[in-house]
Amino acid sequence: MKKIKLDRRSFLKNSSKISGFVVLSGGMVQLNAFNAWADKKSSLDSHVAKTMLLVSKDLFPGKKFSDELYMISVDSLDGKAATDESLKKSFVDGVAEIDSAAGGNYMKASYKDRVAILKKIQGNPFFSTLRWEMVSVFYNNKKVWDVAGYQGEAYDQGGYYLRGFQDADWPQPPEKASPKGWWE
Amino acid sequence: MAKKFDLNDDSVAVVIGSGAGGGTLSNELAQKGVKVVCLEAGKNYSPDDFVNDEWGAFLQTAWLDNRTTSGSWSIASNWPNLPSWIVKSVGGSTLHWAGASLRFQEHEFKVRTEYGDVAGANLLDWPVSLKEMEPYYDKAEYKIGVTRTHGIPGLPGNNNFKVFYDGAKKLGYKDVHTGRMGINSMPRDGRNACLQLGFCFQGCKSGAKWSAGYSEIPKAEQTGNFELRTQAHVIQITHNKSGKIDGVVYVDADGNQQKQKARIVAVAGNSIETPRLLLMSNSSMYPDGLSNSSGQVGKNYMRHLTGSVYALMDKPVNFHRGTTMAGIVTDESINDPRRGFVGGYELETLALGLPFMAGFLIPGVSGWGEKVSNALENYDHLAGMWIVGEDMPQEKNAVSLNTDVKDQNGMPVPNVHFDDHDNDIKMRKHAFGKGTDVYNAAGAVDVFETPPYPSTHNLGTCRMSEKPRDGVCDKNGKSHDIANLFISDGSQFTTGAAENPTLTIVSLAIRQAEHIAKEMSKGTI
Repeated sequence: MKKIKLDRRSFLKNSSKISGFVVLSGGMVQLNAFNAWADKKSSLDSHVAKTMLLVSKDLFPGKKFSDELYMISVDSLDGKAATDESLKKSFVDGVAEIDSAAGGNYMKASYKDRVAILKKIQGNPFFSTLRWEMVSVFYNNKKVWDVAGYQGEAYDQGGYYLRGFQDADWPQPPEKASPKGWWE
Repeated sequence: MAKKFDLNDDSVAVVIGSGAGGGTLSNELAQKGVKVVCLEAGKNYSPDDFVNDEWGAFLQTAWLDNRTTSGSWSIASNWPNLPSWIVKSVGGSTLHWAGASLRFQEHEFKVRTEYGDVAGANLLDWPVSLKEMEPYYDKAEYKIGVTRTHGIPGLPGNNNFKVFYDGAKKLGYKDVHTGRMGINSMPRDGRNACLQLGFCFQGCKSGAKWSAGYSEIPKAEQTGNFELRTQAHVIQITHNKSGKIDGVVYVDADGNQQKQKARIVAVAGNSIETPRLLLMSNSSMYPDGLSNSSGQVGKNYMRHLTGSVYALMDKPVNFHRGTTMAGIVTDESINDPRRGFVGGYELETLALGLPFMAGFLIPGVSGWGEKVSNALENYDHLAGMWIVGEDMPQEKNAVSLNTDVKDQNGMPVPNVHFDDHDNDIKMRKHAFGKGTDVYNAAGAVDVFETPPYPSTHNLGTCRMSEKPRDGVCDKNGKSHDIANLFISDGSQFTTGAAENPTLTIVSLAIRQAEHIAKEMSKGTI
C-alpha cells in the first residue's frame, strides 16, 4: 500500500502540467495521459482503472477539481480489491458491462451517452461501490476539502471565533438577534 | 466519589441509559440520596476523546447495532439499517445534540383538543400541561445553562446565521435570533464558553455544550450514591411472582451476562431501544412484553417532520465556521390550519461538513451528477437550515422486534416502521417552500430540498396518557401496569410538538426524580 501511495505522489509531481482529461471532439475523452498511473495499480488492470477514474468523474463532475484528484477514489478501491478477489471481479465485470453498453469502450463514448449509461446502472453494486467511495473517501480527503473550501477541525487553532466565523459578506444582524461574544 | 454496589443489592434504583433522560434522572436521584446504578451500553468518552472529524466521530460514537426498517419513508431506502442517528456512549445522544433548547407551547400539550380528530392520527392530549411543566422547564434551563434564559446572553451568530437572518427578515419573519441554546455563551458551571468550533454533532471538545456525560454524571458520582457501569447492555428486565420488577439482565464488556437486582427500574434507552427492551422482556405473566396491556408499547413512533434546505449562494458563506444550529425562525411554529395542515415547525440553521454534505445533500443512489457535484465543489458558498416540525403520531408507525435478524447478543433487532402522514407531507412541502424563499431573498443561485436524515429525534413509543388504555405510562412516566417501572426518555412523549425534544426530556427527568424520591421515602415503591 505504501509503495502505491509513493508512486501516485511521484506521478502527481511529474505530471503537474496535465490539466485534465483530453477531450476529443464530440465529448469523447482519451486517458493516455493516465497510463503511467493506471499501469501501477496493485490489483486493477490499466483499462479498468482508467475507466473507473472516468466513471468517478462522471458521477461527480468537477470544474475546479483536477482530474488527478479523482485518483484518490480509484486508488482506494484498488487497495481494497488487492485483498478482495470478489470485489476485484465486480470491477472487471462492471467495466465490461458499461463498455458493452457503450458499444465497446465506455471511455470513447460522449459525456451524454456515458451519463445515460450510468443512469441505467444506477443502484447496481458496481455503481453503488464507486459512488459510495466518492462520497466517503474522495469528499473526506483534505486535498478535496482545500479546493472546495472546507476547513475541517478548528479546535487546535482555538476554534473559528477568531478565524472568520462572522466574515460572510451579508449585513451584520442587530445585537438583539446576534449578541457580541462575552469577551468583547 | 464513585461508589460500587453489589449485584444482589435490591435497594438500588437501576437507570438504563445515561443520556438526556437517564443521565439527568440518575444525578437528580443521587442528589436526593437515592442509591443509583446506571447501566450504559456504550463506552465513556470525554471531550479529550472527541474527534473533530465527521466520519471519525460517527464511527467512534454512533449507535451502529444492526436495525431494520420498513414503510414508505425515504430512510428505508436510503439508510435501511440506520433508522436513527443517535449515540452509544456515556451521555447518550446529548453528545450529539446541537443544543437547541425550546419549551413546548401550551397548545402542543393538548393537541387532541386543539387539532380535533385528524384522520389516521392517534392524537392524544398530554396528561400534563405547560403550566405544570413550567417550574421544571425553569430548572432544566438553569441546569443546562440555556442562552436567553436566566440572564444568560445569546450566542453570537455565525456566517450561516447572517445569511439566514437576512433572508428571513426580507421575507417578513419577526422572531429571528441565535436561539435558546444549551451552549455556554460565557463560562458557566465549570464549562467553557463556545469557541465556535463547528463540531457540535461530534461531541463538543471545548465542553461549552451541555452534555449529560460530563455535566450530570460527574456530579452524580460526587454524591457517593451513584455507580456508572459502562458497556453494560441491558437485554431483559425481570420481575417476581407478583409481577413487580426485581432486576435486570445485562451483557457486560466481556460478553458475560450479569443480573443486577433493583428496587425500581427506569428505562431511558432512546425511543427505539426502550420499547424494544420492554418487548424483549416478555414472560408468561406479560406475554406481550412489559407494561403493554394497552398494546401501545412501540407504537406511535414519531421522529419530527424534518427536512433541510441548502442553498448555493452568490458569495462565499463558510457555514462550517461556528455553532451548528444557533439560529432560529419561530414564526411558523404556530398552529394555523389555514396553511393546510395542523401543527407547526421551526426553521433552524444547520451546517454539515463536506464529508457529510456529500452523503446527505441528495442521499441514496440518485445522489450524483452535475447539480450535487457543483454544490459540493463550491462548498464554501453553501448555507443551510433544518426543518423541525410536529409529525402526527400513528399507531402503525412502530418499533417492533424483528425475530429474523439477531444482534451481537443474539437478541432480535428492532424494526422501525414509518409512513409519513398526509399532514406531515403537507407541512414539509410548506416548510421547503418557505426555506427556499428565505434563501432566494438572500441571494441564492441554487436551492436543495433535502429529505430527512436518519432520525435524531426519536419519540413517543411508550407514551404517557391519562387513561391506561391509551398509553404506556402516567404523567410521572410510571408504568400504568407495573408500579416500580418507569419510562424516562423521549419515549414518554404523547406527541412531538414542533420543538427539539432534549429540554423537555430533561425537564421530565427532573420532575420524575422528585416523584420517585417522594414515593420511595413514603415506601409506596
